[in-house]
Amino acid sequence: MHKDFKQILAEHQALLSRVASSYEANESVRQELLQEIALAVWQGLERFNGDASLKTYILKIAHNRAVTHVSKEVKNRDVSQPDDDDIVATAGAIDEEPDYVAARSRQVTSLLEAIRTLPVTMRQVMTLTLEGLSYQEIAEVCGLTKNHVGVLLQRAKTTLQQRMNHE
Amino acid sequence: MNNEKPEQDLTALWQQQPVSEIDLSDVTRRLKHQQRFQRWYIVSDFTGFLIGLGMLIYSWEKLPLYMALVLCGVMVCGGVFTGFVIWLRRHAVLASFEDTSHYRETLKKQYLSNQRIARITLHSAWSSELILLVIWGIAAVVGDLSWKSFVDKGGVATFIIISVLMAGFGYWAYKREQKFKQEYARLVSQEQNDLFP
Repeated sequence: MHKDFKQILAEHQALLSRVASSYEANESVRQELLQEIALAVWQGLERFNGDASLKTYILKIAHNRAVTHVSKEVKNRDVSQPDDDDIVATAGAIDEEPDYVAARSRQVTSLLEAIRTLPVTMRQVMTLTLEGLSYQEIAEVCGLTKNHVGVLLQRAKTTLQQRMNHE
Repeated sequence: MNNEKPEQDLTALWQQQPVSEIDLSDVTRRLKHQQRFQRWYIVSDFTGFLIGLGMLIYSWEKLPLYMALVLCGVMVCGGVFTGFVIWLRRHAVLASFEDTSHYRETLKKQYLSNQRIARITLHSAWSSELILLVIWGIAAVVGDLSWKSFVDKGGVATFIIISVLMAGFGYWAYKREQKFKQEYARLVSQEQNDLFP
């Protein structure tokens, strides 16, 4: 059974890593958060009964763990320190022009910074949308109505575009 | 305004961020470590209470009535407190599988409860000293304890040692209360800018 859990974690590690990056800028703390999330998901998998999709169940646990992390961790250090400077956009980076990759990497950094400034519910709605979840699935993860999800998403998009254009 | 294109752009950007790998051997190690700690918590929660109960039952017939009543009161309060802490811990674990709004509400309640527990612990530090003094006082009034026998049995030294320990215990509880206040405040500040809190 544990082997299956490990396999599920391995299959979802990119997804979980992106959840961690939406809450934590510092690379080493982000890795620590990812480990904590993985542990919480592993424990949660024992209770998974198939009522919802595995992806939404995992995301629910991951966001819950991340919220706890933010409330506990931030007081311990200076969050304003630059953390995402070394980001290099991954997809298509090998064949493309260095200038294009650099510009794309700056955009990724800008997006991550803007997302981390969103209030927590809006941030969750936005990142779940970026992971391809439907309104219904997001409503289920966040405990909101579909209409509420739509309103929050619209506001989040507007805020993100404004903040990214300012940078 | 067409929002489809910007959303596609953001999704593409989002998916291009570099991702980290999970260290599965570390997760396995943490899981075992946590399981050991959870068992230890359960054992430690019950052990102190059961030892006290056992001693009370064992020495019941030798105890004066006032002492038996005081100890019964302490045991009842201790039992209720232990049960409450266990319930809180289990409640917090189960909440992590609920939706995120429900979880945040539970987390806030948990931080508030933890603040209360820390405050109770803080007050229990000085009140346990007071209870000790009351017991000794009653013993002196009913003639079970004289000042000479109190001093000869190391009562003064015992009182000083307990005072120092309780002062440290109280300070620790105070720091915990401050920590949970900060965690609660941080959680609330995350939500304050929400459109529909």
